[in-house]
Amino acid sequence: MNDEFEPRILAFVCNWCTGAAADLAGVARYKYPSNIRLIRVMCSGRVNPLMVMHALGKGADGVLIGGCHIGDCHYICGNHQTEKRVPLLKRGMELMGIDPRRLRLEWISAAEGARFAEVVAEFVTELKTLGPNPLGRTSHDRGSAAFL
Amino acid sequence: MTEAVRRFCKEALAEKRLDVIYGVRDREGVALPHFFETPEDLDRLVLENRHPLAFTCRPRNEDVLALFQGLRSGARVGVVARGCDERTIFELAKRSQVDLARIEFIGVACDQAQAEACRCSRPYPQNLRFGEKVAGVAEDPATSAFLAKGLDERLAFWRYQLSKCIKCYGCRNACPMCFCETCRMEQAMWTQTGRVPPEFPMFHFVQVLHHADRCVDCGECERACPMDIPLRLLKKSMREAVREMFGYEAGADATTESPFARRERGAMHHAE
Repeated sequence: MNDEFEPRILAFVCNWCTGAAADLAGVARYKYPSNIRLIRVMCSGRVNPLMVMHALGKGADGVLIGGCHIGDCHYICGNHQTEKRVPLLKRGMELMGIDPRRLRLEWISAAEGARFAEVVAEFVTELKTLGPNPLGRTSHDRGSAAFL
Repeated sequence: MTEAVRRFCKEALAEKRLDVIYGVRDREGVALPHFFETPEDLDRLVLENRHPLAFTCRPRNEDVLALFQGLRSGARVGVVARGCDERTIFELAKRSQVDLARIEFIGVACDQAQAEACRCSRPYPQNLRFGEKVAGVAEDPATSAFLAKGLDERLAFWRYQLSKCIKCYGCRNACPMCFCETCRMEQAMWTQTGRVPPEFPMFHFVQVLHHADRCVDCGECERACPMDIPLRLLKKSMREAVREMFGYEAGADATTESPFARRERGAMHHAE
């Protein structure tokens, strides 16, 4: 077995676009790394920034938020909220000393299965260069890093 | 200046222009918020730099905010407000916690020494009635020093600082903007309950995020902390981030809504 670090990524994908794109990637048999676990939410605007921090605190190496392109939101302006929150959340992560690159926001439409596969592959490569999440290794939380 | 404020308040009460004055009363050397209803009472009104801000969060039903909301309907309230008090009331009003139409600000400016002691960037209210405006403290050395650190250093810094936390919830209770009925810092869903020191970084991160667009930079959280955790570093920096990204500063005026309360896209997509 090789000992290369395999990042674990938690993804929040919206039901209407990125979730469908992930399905499409599967149906179309696009290959992408298996480091990702999806949680489907109804809208990327439903992703509470605290959920992201929670995942990172429990040892996820990266968090991906996938939503519809601006203008395509099923709920009209859900992704506008995401668009505002994510940069602020990244600032907060930076302040706490967590690399903001561990969080990624992508707009992927239901037709972009290939794009989904590409994003996951890119993110895995990036996280490999960043190394394991420092919160995962020494967090004094019992049961940390056990969520995947 | 204290005499002038007292005189003004007494007149307002006597003329029935205001029904009650809200300010700080001296009680055996301790300054506490108080509702002044009679002119005689006002002799104990003080203008204290360091005093608990206008509103505290718990226990609910007994806190000042509840008293404020419960004041007999239509009562006109005069509030002896410094810069931070006024900012607080503006933000609370935007979030439907107080009714600005019932409030008259009796604005008092802080002097240079007070501003420096508080590291306050805007030590005067907009509705200024007493005192002279002084320039605030433009740069906070503690914040700049912190921001000069790299990511690893910051993480180590907070790991240490937040491990001192004894979970007294003082920061939250002292915060004038903390009025949620259920607090995420107490919910097992977000942070493990019954553990000291609390989960890092989730416990404190709740505040970091939740206060980004509402922190009025009064510094009460840090003052309340018995373990001297520099919480204001986080709050100040997040406040600055919101200002930079959305051009929004909590408490700067009474009407502009927080960017997070609005539906439209943020200013962010113009910047990027």
